[in-house]
Order: sequence, then C-alpha cells, then structure tokens
Amino acid sequence: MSTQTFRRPNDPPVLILTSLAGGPKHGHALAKDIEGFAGIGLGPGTLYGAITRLEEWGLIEPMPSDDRRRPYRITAAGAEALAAAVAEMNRVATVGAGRLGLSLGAMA
Amino acid sequence: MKASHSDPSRMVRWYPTAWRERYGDEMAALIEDQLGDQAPSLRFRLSIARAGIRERAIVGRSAAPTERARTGALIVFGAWSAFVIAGASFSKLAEHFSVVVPAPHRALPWTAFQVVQIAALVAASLFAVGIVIALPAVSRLLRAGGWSTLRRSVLRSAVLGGAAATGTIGLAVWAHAISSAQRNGTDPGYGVAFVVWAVLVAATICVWARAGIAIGRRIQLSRRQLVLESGLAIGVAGAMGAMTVSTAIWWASMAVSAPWFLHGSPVGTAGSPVDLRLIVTMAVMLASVVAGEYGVARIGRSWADMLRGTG
Repeated sequence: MSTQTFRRPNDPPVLILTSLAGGPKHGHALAKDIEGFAGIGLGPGTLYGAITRLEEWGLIEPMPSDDRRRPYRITAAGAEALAAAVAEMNRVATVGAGRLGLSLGAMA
Repeated sequence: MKASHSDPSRMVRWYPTAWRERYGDEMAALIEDQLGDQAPSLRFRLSIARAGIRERAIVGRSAAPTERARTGALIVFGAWSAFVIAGASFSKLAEHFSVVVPAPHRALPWTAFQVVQIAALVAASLFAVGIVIALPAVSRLLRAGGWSTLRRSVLRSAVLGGAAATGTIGLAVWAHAISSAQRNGTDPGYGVAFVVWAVLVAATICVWARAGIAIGRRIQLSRRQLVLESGLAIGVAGAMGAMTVSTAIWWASMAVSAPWFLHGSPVGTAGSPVDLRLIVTMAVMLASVVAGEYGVARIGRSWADMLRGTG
C-alpha cells in the first residue's frame, strides 16, 4: 500500500486523484476537468509526470484501450490516499474558516 | 511523411526510452489534443523538455533516492570523461615545462603540476574501482539480453576506439621518424595529422562515455553498491576540483616566470600570458567541475533522503 501523503490541494497528484474520483478519464479529459473545477491548466509534462508517479505508487491504474488516448481510473489505495488528503485539507480549512468566523458550507 | 519540429512524437524525445515506450503515444495524443491546430509555443516546448529531463532524474526529486544517487554518479562520470580530454590537452601544453623554466621559479609550477598528476592518478583509480564494482552487474545485464539494446553504441565506440588506437600507433611511428622541430610545428602534415588524431581520441572518449552512461542507467545495483559508486563519484569530483585549481596555479606561475613557454617562443622573450589553447582547456575543466559538483549535490541530497527514509 502506498504511504504517499498529499498536503496541498493544488498538487497535480491531488488534482488528478480528485478528477478520477469522478470516473475514469484519459489525459486530455483529465486536463479539461481539472481546469474546470480548479482553474489550473496542467501542461502535458506536468500531467504525465504526475500520472507516472501515481501509477508507480499504485494510486491509479490504466484501463484497457485500443486507442492512444488511454483512460485511467483511481484504485482503492488512491481513493484512500485522496480521502486522507481531503481530511487533512478539511481540518486546516475548518480551523481557518472558524477563526475568520466563516461557514465552510456557505462558502462552497 | 517527414516529421516536423512540432511533431508531438519528436517533442517527447527528451524522455527516457523506457518511459516513451510506456507513455509516449499517450502523451503525443495529449499534445495533439491540447494544441489542436496551433503551433506549440516556446514555453510549451520548454515545459515538455524540462519534464522529460526531470523524468531522466537529472533534475528534481521525483525519482527514488537510490536512482538519484545513480544519476548523480553518472553525471560525475560524464563530467570526468570531458575532464580527461581537457587534462590530456593540459598535459600536452605543459610538456617539458620544467626544462625551460629558470630553476629559481620552478618550485611553484612544478608543485602544481605534481598535484595535477597525483589527483589524476587518484581519480583514475577511483574510476577503475567503480568499474570493477559494476562489472558483475554488467555481466548480468548482458546475460539477461541487454546486449541487444547496447550493441549499437558499444560497437560504434569499439570502432572509433580501434581507429584511435591505429591512429596513435601511426602517429607515434611518424613522430619517431621526424625531428623535434618538425613535431612542434615546422611539418604542417604532421600538425594536421596530430589535430585529426586529437579529435579522434576526444570523439572516442565521448562515445565511450555515452555507452558507459547507457550501461550505467540499465544495470541493477544494490543500494549498498549505489552508495559506494556515488561515494567514488564524490572522490572523482573532488580530484577534478583539485586538478583545476592546480592547473590555474600552474598557469599563473608560468605567466609570471616563463610567459614565453605558453606560446612556444624562444626562452627569455616577452609574451602575453593569455593563450587560447589554455583558455579552452581551462574552460572545459571548469565546465566539468561545475557539472561534477551538480552531480555531487544530487548525490548528497539523495543520501540525505536515504537516511531520512523519504523521497
């Protein structure tokens, strides 16, 4: 099982795991989805660098495809790592929002 | 169809071969999708090149610490190969200097030259130990079918090496048949042959270094062996630094006590201490030292990560 931990929400691996948590996608679909929900445009080098690492860590896996545009899906270990990252970020966000007197629900 | 410079498959050439075999087509498809009909900008190209070089573990910390230690050691190996060419050039330029320098001024350049020789011997010994440590792994690689991927570069290196050896014998025979004055410039034919031979030897060192790096990237080494190899590389980098400093001291002391020697002018005549051949030699030495120090920095960081158990 991977021991990778992610702390920053804009880390490419976190963005990719978040995107794949919504369903399998190939490279271009991933980049478009990430740009849509995070406003961050990942170039091919950054995107495939992160895909390579995530696959090495067993957090995502390629799906069978005859096309060059091979889709990827999140693994159980990937979902676990993303859940841990989201919980960590949520803890920080809750403390920040609380100290500012804001409601996280109202900000979403 | 001829591949253009914006051909995505050409843009991923910065990545290592094994990576391209696994992800190359996918990434090329992504580049096509992202670019559409647009030509790639310089920034876009550079970002892909940088990511490819990072994937080769030359920059960044994305690879495992042991692999970064390996890359650091290979960077030092490449730098040492270039340094050998500069060292040979210095050795030729400094030939017989102690005979022409007046005795009262001989101590400093002589000492500096001795340091260069001792450091060269130390570096060559460390290098040889590194090869001996790697030999069993090279043998395993070849037995496991690695020869097919290395054959081309090794054969090319062997052919050039054979040509360089033949050239060395031919030049040595020629040199013995002519006078010292002819060897040192009055025989233009010998001068041209010497330059051709020097270029051939430099090319041979370069292709062997390239083949060595290709082998070094593929062999399976244990963590202990990688630590040992990278430790030897640190020693080689240190020796390169010592040789470069000593060469600079030799040059400075010769510029003060025997500037005529630097130009091959008659003894006792005035002359500028600036010599193009020495400048080029020193530039190659300095570039090698900088590259070597970069390799050492990578090794140092990878060792720190190994000790922390991270990376």
